[in-house]
Amino acid sequence: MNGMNSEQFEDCLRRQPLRATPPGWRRKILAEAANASSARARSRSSQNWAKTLFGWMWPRPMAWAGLAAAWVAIFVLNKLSAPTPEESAQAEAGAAIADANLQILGSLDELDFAAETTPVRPSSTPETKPPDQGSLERPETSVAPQT
Amino acid sequence: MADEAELRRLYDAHANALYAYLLNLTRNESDSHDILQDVFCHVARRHDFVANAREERAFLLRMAYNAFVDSTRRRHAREHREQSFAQESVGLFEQAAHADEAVFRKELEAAMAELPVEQRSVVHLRLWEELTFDEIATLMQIPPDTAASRYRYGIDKLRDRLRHLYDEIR
Repeated sequence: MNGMNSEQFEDCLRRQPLRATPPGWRRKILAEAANASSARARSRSSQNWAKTLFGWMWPRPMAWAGLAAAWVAIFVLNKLSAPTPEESAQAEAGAAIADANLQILGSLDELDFAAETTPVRPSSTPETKPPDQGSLERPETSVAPQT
Repeated sequence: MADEAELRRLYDAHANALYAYLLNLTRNESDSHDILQDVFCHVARRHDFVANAREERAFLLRMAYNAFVDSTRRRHAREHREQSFAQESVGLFEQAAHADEAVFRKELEAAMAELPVEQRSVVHLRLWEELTFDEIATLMQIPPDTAASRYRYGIDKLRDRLRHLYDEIR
């Protein structure tokens, strides 16, 4: 082997110094690692919250049963309170009638308003006067003072 | 979860070794950086793994190797670029003071790049990390005999390749 001892050769290779990490990497890699660490801490805190809730619920089957019963009750009430198609049709018809009535009432109000704003002639018949107006008018014939 | 002081300590103690190992595996500085960063992010998230490890360095080297294997699989599946690891060879060693040494290191880098990555990994861990074959076997999840035979094959190839230069620098 031309004096090429295996151990000597391996020692020769071992003596070759390996390149060191580029100096700029330290800050960057440690910053990334710190970010990863804090992100994990955040996720662990939310996991802890879930774990606490689970830990509270797990040994309490009644709490789970109550929650399930509440959901079932909400579902049933929702189904029961939903109107049938006939009820929906009736409600729509009733709403249309009510709209029509409101329109009629509105037109009547307009007629009354028009009547009130029409000027009244003074020579109208006494029965057309309101009673309070008549009492305020003076009599046309003057009464001579008694001596 | 590791605090920042502990992360700094781990980096200062092991980053150079991990970097050199990754550089030897990937032959690519950018890939080495990404994998090294992955390793430290993983350490930051699950520091208890490292704290419970018997040999910190061996454990981190194992993490680096696993991260490299994962990265290679992803790359292989994605774009078949694994061959570029050997082509984009970067300086594995420090700059040499003498011309003969510089030539030898350059040839050694090239010879290492020609080794299959499994042999390269074993040779690196045995030569520069001075791990035993049992430790290498644990790290790479292979039988110790396989580690030993890979090392022997790798060293034989390097010796054949560097024979003409070895006598000059000896």
